[in-house]
Amino acid sequence: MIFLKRAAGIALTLAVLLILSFVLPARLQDVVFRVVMLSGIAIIMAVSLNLINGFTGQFSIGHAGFQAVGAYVAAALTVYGHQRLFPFLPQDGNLPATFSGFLTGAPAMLAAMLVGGLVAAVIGFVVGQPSLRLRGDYLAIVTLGFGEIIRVVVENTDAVGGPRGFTGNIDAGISIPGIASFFWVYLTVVVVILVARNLRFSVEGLKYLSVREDEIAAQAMGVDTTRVKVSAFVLGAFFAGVAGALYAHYEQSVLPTSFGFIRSFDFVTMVVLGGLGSISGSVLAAVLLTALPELLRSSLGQLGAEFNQYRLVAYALLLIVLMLVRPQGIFGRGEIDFGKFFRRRRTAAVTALENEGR
Amino acid sequence: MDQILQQLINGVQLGSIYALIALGYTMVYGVLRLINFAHGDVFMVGAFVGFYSAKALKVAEQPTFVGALATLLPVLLIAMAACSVLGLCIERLAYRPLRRAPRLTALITAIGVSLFLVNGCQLLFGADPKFFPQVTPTGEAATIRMGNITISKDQMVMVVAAALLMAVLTYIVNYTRMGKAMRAVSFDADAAALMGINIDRVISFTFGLGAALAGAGGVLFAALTYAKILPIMGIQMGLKAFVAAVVGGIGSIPGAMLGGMLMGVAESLVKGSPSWGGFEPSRFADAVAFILLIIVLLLRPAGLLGRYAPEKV
Amino acid sequence: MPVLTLENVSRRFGGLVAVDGVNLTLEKGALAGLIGPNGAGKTTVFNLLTGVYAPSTGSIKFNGKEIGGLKPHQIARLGICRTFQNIRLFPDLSVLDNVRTAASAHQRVGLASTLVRNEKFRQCEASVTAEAERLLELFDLKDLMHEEARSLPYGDQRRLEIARALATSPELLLLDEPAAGMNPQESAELMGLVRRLRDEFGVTILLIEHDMTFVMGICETITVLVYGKPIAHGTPEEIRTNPKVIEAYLGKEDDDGGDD
Repeated sequence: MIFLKRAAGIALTLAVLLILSFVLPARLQDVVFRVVMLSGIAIIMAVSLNLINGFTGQFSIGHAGFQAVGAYVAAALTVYGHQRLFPFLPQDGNLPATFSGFLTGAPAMLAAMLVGGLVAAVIGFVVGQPSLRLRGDYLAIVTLGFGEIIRVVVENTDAVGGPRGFTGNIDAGISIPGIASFFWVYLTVVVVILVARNLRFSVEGLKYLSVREDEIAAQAMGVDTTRVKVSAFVLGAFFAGVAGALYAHYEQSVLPTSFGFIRSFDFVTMVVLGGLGSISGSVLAAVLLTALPELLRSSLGQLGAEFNQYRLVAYALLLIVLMLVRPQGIFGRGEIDFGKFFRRRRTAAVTALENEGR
Repeated sequence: MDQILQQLINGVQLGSIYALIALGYTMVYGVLRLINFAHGDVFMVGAFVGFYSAKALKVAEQPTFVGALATLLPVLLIAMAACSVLGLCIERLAYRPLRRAPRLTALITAIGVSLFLVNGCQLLFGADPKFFPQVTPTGEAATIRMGNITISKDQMVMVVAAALLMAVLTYIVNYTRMGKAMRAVSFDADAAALMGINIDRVISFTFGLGAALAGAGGVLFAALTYAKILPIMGIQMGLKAFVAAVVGGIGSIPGAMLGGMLMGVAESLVKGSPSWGGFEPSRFADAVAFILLIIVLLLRPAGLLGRYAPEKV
Repeated sequence: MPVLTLENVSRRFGGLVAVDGVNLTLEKGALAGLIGPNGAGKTTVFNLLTGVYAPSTGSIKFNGKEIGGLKPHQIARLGICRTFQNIRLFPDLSVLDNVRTAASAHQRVGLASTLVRNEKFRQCEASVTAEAERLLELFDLKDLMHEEARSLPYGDQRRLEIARALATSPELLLLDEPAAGMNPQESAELMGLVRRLRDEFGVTILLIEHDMTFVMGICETITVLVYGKPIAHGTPEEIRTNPKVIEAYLGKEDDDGGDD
């Protein structure tokens, strides 16, 4: 029964995402659709960072570095693997907005997301393993430094364009394919939110939270804190890598400077603003902080551009004031109730669990 | 061999800047157990204040080494004073209210302050780079040759000035009442408070002192390495200097000096190293600091001269 | 075989010898006390037993297995759990979740099962929750189970910490000043509870306590530690009349008072 229900749920979600994937770009203004896509990517970044910073209480401030890894690795895969792996993709990277166009791009996108995510996860493991044994503030520095190493490496790798950025294999005339449609971005959004939620409301997830609450007590209760921290880090890095793959195949170009620490701080701001540990808070903050500047810039014209100059100063002040007056974030640590629909499902799930326990 | 010696000299020059900034990180960490992320940006403000005061004072090229040092002195003092005021303000407004808050909260605030300084300066000074007027002699008089090695007057001024500042700091920390209070607070803040030490004053003093050194570093860096003065210049320098403090052992003042020197030398050696068949290590010089950091954290987490203090249970 | 054997265990911090040649044996089901003036090294002994520190020399055997130098979580999983002198709950988690975290110590659901919420996950979740609720019932905390741990009154926090430690189903329970800050009535109730834990659950208990009524009233054997050295070991009656212990606590007759 549960299995059937689940299968139906998955099928329905996929269908809705697929339909929206064709409807939205046709119906929405370009600017608005762009905001929708960038918000989706930002949600993936913010929620995955929340797994590390909010749930586990570690302090990673190099999340954009993992996004960079995913973006570059995935883009290199689709560009340089073009002939051997994905010969059916058009060389200029532009697919028709039809169902067959979607199907043509799907294997490449899926492969890019998985490879981008996995490579980022492996690097997360390599970076996290030593530094997570140490006190929290060292992690901050190591993650920041890691982002810098990534930038230096990318800028000195000519195969991915070096400091000029990467748009494809110019000699062979192959561009990064634009295959990151709404479907893929929001499928990942759904998956990352589900992962975070399933973790948050489970005994396994309590181990993560206990590390945040009191590491020494957690150890004394049998929690292998290093392992928990490393898995949070690896999981977070994986989704950041996937977000990078999506970003690269949406923008069809990547710049080393798009993933600097300023960008990392954007994600930290989102997580903190939304409330450390709150999934819905991260989602809302990600949308807000992505949509606001984009929309203001486009709707207010000159005024918007001017606003954008003050935006970063405003973020910084916001962050400071928030920490001074409301350190738990605007939306706090709890979850926002998205109406009765969810509540009924939650209580039903809880009763089901209790009944099984008896 | 000469090549290596030459790079060593360049490394000492760079290292003395790292050391000046690293000292501020290490002192603040000592008394507050906080990574003052904004410290690198205080260095940047120091460079800007130095630039504008040098213009106001109409600083010009000096024919001699001593002349250059003397001309820089007033600029240095103004920048140090301005930066210590800035340091005091940051501490008073942003960090003091959070003294008892979780470390994460304080750390986020520190990042907020850093972003505020960077973006505030971007608005205030614009994004085009500024250049410090020439102070040291140019042409024939610019360098001293010893065999195949050249030492520029820039390097001499930089190293001498940094050494003097560090000597003054060592004196303050070891022989003055305030310095003793600082060491007491960083050893055990609660016990120091019970002994009648005014913790708030000590912390303010530490911030002021650290900021002044960073300001001096900013002026020396801008004036003597001909670097672009930019609002974002502090981020990377700050990061590397922090790494230097960790390498030397965070909380340890001699450690910060040693760590800074090591970092400067390591970076210069990589920068000056020849290419190994298509691979050019010099292009990765900016990553050296962080690779060094990871190695040190793996082998000796407390840093070279630091003491490892596990949390009390 | 004794549950716990300490042989000549020492721990140095730089020049300071915090624990100096401690020998101690606990039989299964023992209820023992560790007392001594402040700074005698009692908590350090606990930290050595739970893996916070590794012993500098000597051997610590738990059920015949050497545990000196193991990681805290490994020791906890072997069956030693503790409470802390300065309460260390998970303050933002609910009372129930505090206990559930500990109750899951022996459960290996794994991340994958959790993320897909399969049958294994459901069973584990249900059994952990049931176990936690049972313990909270025993500790009279069930009505408060949805409160945040930080919002509990002090005495309840102390009891919650014991409940949490018990949730890991330890064979050996270490209580670090369990009655600290409790009023006489609370502390008398706690005595009853600790005794029940031993009698009903068969847990071996070692406790540190400054409240002499508590220690003398409940412990069957007591070890006295002074400056890291064990100076006496015996029944409460023997300890009460031991001249060395009296001297350590009160100072010699000709000293002008002891210092605490």
